[in-house]
Amino acid sequence: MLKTKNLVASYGNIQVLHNVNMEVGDKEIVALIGSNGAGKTTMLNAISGHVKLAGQIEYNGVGIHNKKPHTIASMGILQVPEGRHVFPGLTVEQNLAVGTVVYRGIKLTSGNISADIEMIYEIFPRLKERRKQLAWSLSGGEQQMLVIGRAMMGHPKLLMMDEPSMGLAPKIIEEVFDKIVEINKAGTPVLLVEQNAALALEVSNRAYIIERGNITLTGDSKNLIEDDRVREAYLGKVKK
Amino acid sequence: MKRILAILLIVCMAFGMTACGQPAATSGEKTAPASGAESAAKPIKIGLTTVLTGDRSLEGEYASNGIKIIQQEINDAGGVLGRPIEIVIQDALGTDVGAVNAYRKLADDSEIVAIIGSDSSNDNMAVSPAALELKIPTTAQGSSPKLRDMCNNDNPWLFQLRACDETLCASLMRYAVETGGYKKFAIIHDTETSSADQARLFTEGLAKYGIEPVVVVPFTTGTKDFTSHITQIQKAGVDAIIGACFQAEAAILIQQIRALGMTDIPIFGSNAFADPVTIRLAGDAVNGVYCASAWVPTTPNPKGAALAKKYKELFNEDCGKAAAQVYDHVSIIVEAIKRAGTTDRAAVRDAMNTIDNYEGAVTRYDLRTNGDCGRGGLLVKVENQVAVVLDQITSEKIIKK
Amino acid sequence: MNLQLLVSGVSTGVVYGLIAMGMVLIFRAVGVMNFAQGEFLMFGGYLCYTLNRLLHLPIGLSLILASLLMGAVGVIFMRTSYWPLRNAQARAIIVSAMGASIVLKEGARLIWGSIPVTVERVVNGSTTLAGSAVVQWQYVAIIVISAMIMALVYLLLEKTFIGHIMQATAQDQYMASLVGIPVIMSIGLTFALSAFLTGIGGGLLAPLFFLNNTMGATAGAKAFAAIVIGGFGSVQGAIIGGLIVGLVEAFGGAYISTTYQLVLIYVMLVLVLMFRPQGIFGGKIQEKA
Ligand SMILES: Nc1ncnc2c1ncn2[C@@H]1O[C@H](COP(=O)(O)OP(=O)(O)OP(=O)(O)O)[C@@H](O)[C@H]1O
Ligand SMILES: [Mg+2]
Repeated sequence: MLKTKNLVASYGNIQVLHNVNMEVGDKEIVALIGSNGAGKTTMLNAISGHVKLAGQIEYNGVGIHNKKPHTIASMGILQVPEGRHVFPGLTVEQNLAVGTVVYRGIKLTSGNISADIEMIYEIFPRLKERRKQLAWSLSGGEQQMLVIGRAMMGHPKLLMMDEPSMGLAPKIIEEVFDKIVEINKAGTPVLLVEQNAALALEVSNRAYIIERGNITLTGDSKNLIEDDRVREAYLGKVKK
Repeated sequence: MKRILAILLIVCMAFGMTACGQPAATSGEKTAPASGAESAAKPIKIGLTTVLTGDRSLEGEYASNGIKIIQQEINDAGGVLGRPIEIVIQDALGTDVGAVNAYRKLADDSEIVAIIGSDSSNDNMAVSPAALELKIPTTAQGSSPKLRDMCNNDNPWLFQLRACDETLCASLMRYAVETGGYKKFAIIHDTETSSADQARLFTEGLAKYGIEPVVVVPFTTGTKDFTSHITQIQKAGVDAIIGACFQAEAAILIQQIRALGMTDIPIFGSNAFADPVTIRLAGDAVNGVYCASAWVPTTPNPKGAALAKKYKELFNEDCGKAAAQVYDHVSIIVEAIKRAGTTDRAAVRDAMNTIDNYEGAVTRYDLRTNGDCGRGGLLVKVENQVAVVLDQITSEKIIKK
Repeated sequence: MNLQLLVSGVSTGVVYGLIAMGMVLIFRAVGVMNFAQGEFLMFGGYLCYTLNRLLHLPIGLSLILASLLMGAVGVIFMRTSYWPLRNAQARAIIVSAMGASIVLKEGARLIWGSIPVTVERVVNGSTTLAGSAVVQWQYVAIIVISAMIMALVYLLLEKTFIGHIMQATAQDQYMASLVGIPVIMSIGLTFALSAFLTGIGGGLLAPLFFLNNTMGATAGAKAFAAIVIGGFGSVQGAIIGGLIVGLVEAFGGAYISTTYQLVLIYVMLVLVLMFRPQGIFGGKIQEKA
């Protein structure tokens, strides 16, 4: 459903992505793995329209590389960026409601969204307890849940997640990844960026390894887990 | 890219700012010689610094209109020395620094014979050193006694073509005490220099009768709500109020004095209190205001009445003081050029000192000494929103060494 | 006497509040103080004058239309003086707003001239309270209408979806665009709301204080003081700050000194900065450590 062809992106005159070709299929979880500064976030920001780029990005056969960020979002491509971008001055519930703007547009009222909100609360019960609290006062993990929940409120057709595990306790990481798989099972393809390669390879169907803006390796995740180069560079294990 | 755009925008902005200041000025420069003098004779240039932008831009509006009338009249009558006149206008910005810059810009043009200063003693005093240094006959519209003394004693190139405030304020106080019979006064005034000076002159005027104001309430330019000030005056229990400030404040002040219950108390005010703008803004509230004014459009002076009528026809507004003043200033400078028979600045200056008994639109002028050249004013009372002239004030020229 | 001062202080205070609240909306949306906000007051007043005195519409309708037109002015202002600089440093935006304020000020002079003008009152006449305090109905009208407008804007921002969208955009533009908010539209709406809110004050003040093209500067400076006193970025703070400035001016003028009314406000400002630098309502949104 999503395909990039020879994607090139630069900041100023420093080129960050070099002819990246990538694909996300209809029901897949695809992982994008790489070390710090490899260009993973840049890749997601390029897709969501926040980085100037050359090359092509096709979404269901339509070129989206020239479109405005909010137009791309309104086509169903929703990004959960790194760093817990909640709207700090709004309550949990208001944050979730704002997530529906992508299909509803700017209206006076948000319409009847209680069913959707309940569904999010079912996935993240902790958010329900904090529904009237301002988002800045949530813990890091709760903020991460809120950001994911808010993206889901927009009925994503493709969910892009940037390091959802960052800064979370192992137990919560597990919870969050369980939810990601759940969301995917319900029919939403996911493009998952992670530094925690073991986890990412475990939950994903396929994966791309990115190094300094170049895709160096790609394949089914279960094969990559066994790959020596991957084991050495990203899983911290010695050769078999 | 963004940075270039930003810089571009700021440049545009800066352009916008200067462009905004410019149009009036250039349009002034382009009020080219009107019909009449058909000959290809080069126009004789006279400079005018007036406030076109900012807080005091009302002055510039009046002055520009007054200039249009007098320039046309003179050129229709054949100009002077067989040449048409052209008035070059520069924006004095409403500050003394702005006045000096505008003055120096005009002075750079060696064809300019004389320069008319703005309607502020402060501005006039600020340009005085430049007039002296560059030796350009310069006329001042300000009316303060300090300016008068400067013209008389320090600067032979500077002429105060205006009746000095001392004369006008004293006669207004004489009227208030002798004719009105009032004894308990409150003085309320703007702290800006010329208004504060007038307040002082009013106090001195009262002092001649052994009267001291019961309360003096100062305020800063731009004050909008006078409730606190008027409350103080109410507490003091006075039988007349004396005010000194500009039009906008005067109108609000008068209106609020009436609105807060002092509906019949007589108000004696500086020039601005019977100004057409004040009357139009304050409406009925202004009835019962007394003023010793240099100029009102209802002046009995035939030349002044004709100007007021013409102004109203042309601009559909009542003629303001600055319009009438520049009208007279241009006439007097042209008269001096005619008497000198040349556009030489020194000769024109000398010729100015020979002018006496010159009937202008505002008043009669005596230029034999440089200060206090306007010989009179008008004692007016506003009735039914019209400034009714009660008396014409004339006085001996005051010369203090 | 005191009642008279109270009414005058509150009514000028609410108008400072209208300006301050408008400034806060923009500050929260783009992180920069809009130093042209006072000019919105002036421009709104002149639009009201045009409708009421030149086109002879009733004053109520003129006020409404003028403030709606100010919404459009706000959008134009945003597109010309903020949007092209949105990625530049804050000081570039501040300079651009100051430039725009000169353009508005001198533009008004070119359009409407230098002679002050006025509009009709919403309510004529006055009443005497408690024996001696004379209160003009227009003051009461200013208080009531301004309070209504403030309440309306507050409800819009806090209780409606569109208000939450505007707040979200103000708090995190990048994230706002990721959830699908057209950022330019949302910010445009905020500027429109801000100009609408401040613009109505001009037409309300005009019958009491008259309009001239330079009235925005002093009013804007006092509104800025109100914001600092009330707490940077707080809407409630802006309103309370406005009232405090209005009351200090009225009572300080009557009991301390009329010459130093402005000085009193700055003394107040310094005291607040010394003892409660975040302002009275400062710090609603805190950074989480
Ligand atoms: N706004 C920017 N301006 C200039 N350079 C940038 C910018 N954002 C990222 N870069 C550079 O681009 C390169 C790729 O950055 P990117 O954020 O895509 O890395 P990443 O793979 O997401 O890293 P991490 O795992 O640390 O989040 C880095 O070298 C970074 O320094
Ligand atoms: Mg990253």
